[in-house]
Amino acid sequence: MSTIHDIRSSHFKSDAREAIANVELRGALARAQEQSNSKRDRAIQRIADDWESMRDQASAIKTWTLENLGEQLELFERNAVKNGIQVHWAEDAENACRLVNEICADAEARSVIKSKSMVTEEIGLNHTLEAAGLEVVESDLGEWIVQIAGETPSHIVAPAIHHTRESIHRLFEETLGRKIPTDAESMTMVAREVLRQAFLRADVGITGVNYLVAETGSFLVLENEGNQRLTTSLPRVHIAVSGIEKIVPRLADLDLFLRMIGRSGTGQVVTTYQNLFCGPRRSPDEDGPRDMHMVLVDNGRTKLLASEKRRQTLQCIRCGACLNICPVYRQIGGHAYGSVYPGPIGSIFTPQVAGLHKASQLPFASSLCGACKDVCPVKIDIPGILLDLREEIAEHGEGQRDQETELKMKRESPAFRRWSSLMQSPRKYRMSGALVRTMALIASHTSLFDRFIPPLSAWRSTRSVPRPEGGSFRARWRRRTEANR
Amino acid sequence: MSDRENILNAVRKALESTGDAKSACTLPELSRPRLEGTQETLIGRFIEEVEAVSGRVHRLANIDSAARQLETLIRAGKTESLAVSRDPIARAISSRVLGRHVVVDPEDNQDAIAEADMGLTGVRLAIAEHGTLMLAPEDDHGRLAALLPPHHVAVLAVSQLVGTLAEAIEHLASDSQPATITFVSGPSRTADIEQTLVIGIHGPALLDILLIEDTQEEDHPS
Repeated sequence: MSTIHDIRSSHFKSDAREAIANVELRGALARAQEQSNSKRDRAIQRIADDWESMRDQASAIKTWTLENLGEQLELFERNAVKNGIQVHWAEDAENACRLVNEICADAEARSVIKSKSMVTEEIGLNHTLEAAGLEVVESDLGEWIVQIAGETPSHIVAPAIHHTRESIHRLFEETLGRKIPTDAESMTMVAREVLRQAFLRADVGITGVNYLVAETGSFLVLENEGNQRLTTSLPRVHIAVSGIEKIVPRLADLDLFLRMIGRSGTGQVVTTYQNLFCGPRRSPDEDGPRDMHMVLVDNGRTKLLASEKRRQTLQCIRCGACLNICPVYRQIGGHAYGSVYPGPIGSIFTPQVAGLHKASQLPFASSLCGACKDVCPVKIDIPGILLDLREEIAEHGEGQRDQETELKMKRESPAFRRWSSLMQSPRKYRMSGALVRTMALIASHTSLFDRFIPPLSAWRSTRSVPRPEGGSFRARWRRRTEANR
Repeated sequence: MSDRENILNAVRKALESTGDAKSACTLPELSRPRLEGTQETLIGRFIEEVEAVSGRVHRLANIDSAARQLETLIRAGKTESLAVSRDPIARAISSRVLGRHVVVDPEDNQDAIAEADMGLTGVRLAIAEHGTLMLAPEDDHGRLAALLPPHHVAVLAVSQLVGTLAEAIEHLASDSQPATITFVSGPSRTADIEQTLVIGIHGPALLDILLIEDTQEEDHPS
C-alpha cells in the first residue's frame, strides 16, 4: 500500500498554530524566502525572453512522457540493463525498502552513505536500514543537520531551512562533544571533516534521481556540495532510488531542464555539479562503484495517472520554487504540513499518494493566490488541483475526512448554502452587503460582539478588523457613471 | 505477479481510462541554443561565467607556460602533494614540475589521493555559457583526483571549448557514453546554514582552470 513515512498531516491545524507562534521560525522562513526569490528573479531575468517558451516546452515534454509512461519506463529499463545497471521495481514503500535492504545485505554492507533524496525520505528508507543494523549517514549538510537533530527535512531543497545558525551550533557541539566556532564557515568545515570519514568507510552509496533518460538508460542527479560525487565514487555499490515519474525521453531534453531547475530552485544558473550516470565502473577506470542498482518506485504514483488534471502533479521536478513563493509556507514552514513533501506541491502530492483520509486538511492550506502556478517551471496547475481535491473531499469524502475537516465541513456547508442563495438574488445581496458594512464598522470600533461570537472570535484573536470606507461598490459605481454622463 | 508487471499494468490501465481524452500531445522539437560569435567571444564568456561562480581561469600559450602557472599555484597554496590523473596533457604538465613535489598516482590507493593537497586532471569538454567543465573519468582513468583534494586544477585546451550545454550534450550523444560524466561549474558550495554561502564543503574549495592555446608537445625535449 502506498504511504508516506511518518505522515502526521491530520495534525495540520494544531501543528500550524504552533509554528505560527514560533517567532524565531517565522523570521528564518521570511529571510530565506526573500533571499531565494530575489535570487530566482535575477537568474531568470537574464533569460527573460525565453523563460515562458521554456516553461511551455518543459511542460509539454512532461505531459507527453506521462502519457507514454509505460513505454518510456520499459525503454529506460532495456537501455539501463545494457549499460550494466541492475534495475528493480517496487510497487510501494515497503517493497522499495526491502529491495534496498537486500542489496545491502548481498553486498555485506555495514555502513551506508546517502546524498539528499526526497523519495528515500518518502519511503522511510533510513529507518528500515537502521533497523537492519546498518550505519546510515546523510551527507548533504542540510540533511545531516536534520538527521542529527532527529527531524525530517522541512523543505525539499533546503532541508534545514527552519534552523538558525545558533540552533545548528548548539546541535553540533552536543553531537560532537566539543567546542566549535560559531560562524557558518567553521561549522561547515567541521561537517566536512566528520563526514569525510563516513565517506571513506561506507560500503554502499545511496542517491536519488533528478532525471531518468529513456533513450540512453542513464540518469542524472544534481547537487552543489560534492557529497553526491563522493557518495557515487568511493563506496563499492551505488544504489539510486527514483520515482517512476522522473523520466524524460531524450538525452537532449536535459539541456532544457538543467537550464530551468537551478534558476527555479536556488537562483543558480546551473547547480555546481550535475552527475550523469551510465553504469558501474568500466575499464580503464580505477575507481567508482563495481555495482550500480536502480530502484524504480511507484508508491501510489500510478493512481494519479487516471485523471488528466491530477496527472500534472507527476510533472514536478522538485525545484522548490512553489515553497519559496507560498505565503502559507512562509508562515508555518515545512513541518506543519506533516509530510516530507510540504508547501503547495506537497498539499497536492501528499493526499493523492498517502490517501485523502491521511491528509484531508492539506488541500485547504492555501489561499489559492496562484503564485505557485506562476513560478512552476513545468506549469503545474496547483490551485486547480487543490480545488479538485477540495471538491472530492466536500462531495464524496464521506468517511475520508479527519475530525478537523469533518468539523470544517459541518460549519462551512450551511454558510456556503446561505452565501449561494444571497448571490442569486440582487435584493438579498444588497441587504447583506449593507449589514456586513454596518457590522464591520461597529467591529472596527469595539470588540464587543466579535469577541464572544465564534467563529468571529477565533478570527479576531490574531487580526484587527479593517474599517469599511466609502459605501458599497455598487453605490460608488453608480456615482461614477452618473458623474461621467 | 511481480512488482514490475503490477506497475506497468497499473500505468496502462490508468492511461487507458482516459484514452479517449488523450490530448494530441506530441513531443516538442527542442530549440538547441547556440552562442554566436568568434572563439574569442566564447573564451570571454567562459572566463566570465567561471569567475561568477568563484573559479579562476588562467590563459596560457602552451604546455611550458601551463607548467609555470602550476608551479605558481603550488607555491601560493604551499602544496606538498599533488595527485595527477592519467590525462596525457595533465601528465605532460606535471612532468615539468616533477622532482620538487610529491606526485601521487591514481594507481596508488585512495588514501594517498585523499591526503593530496591538489589534484591535476584533464577534461572532456568545457561549456562557455555556464562556465562548466565536463569531466569524463575514463579520460583520467579515475574520478578521485578531481574530487578528494581541496584544490582542483583542470587542464583545458582552447579547442575543447564549446558554446552551450546543448552542444556538449550532442557531443555526448554521438560518442559511446562513458560510465559517468560530471559537469562542474565552480568549486563545491553550500548555503545550508542560514543561506550563508560557504565555498568548499565536500568537493574542492578551489578550482583553477589552465586554458591552453596550444597543447602540442613537439618542441619539448624529452
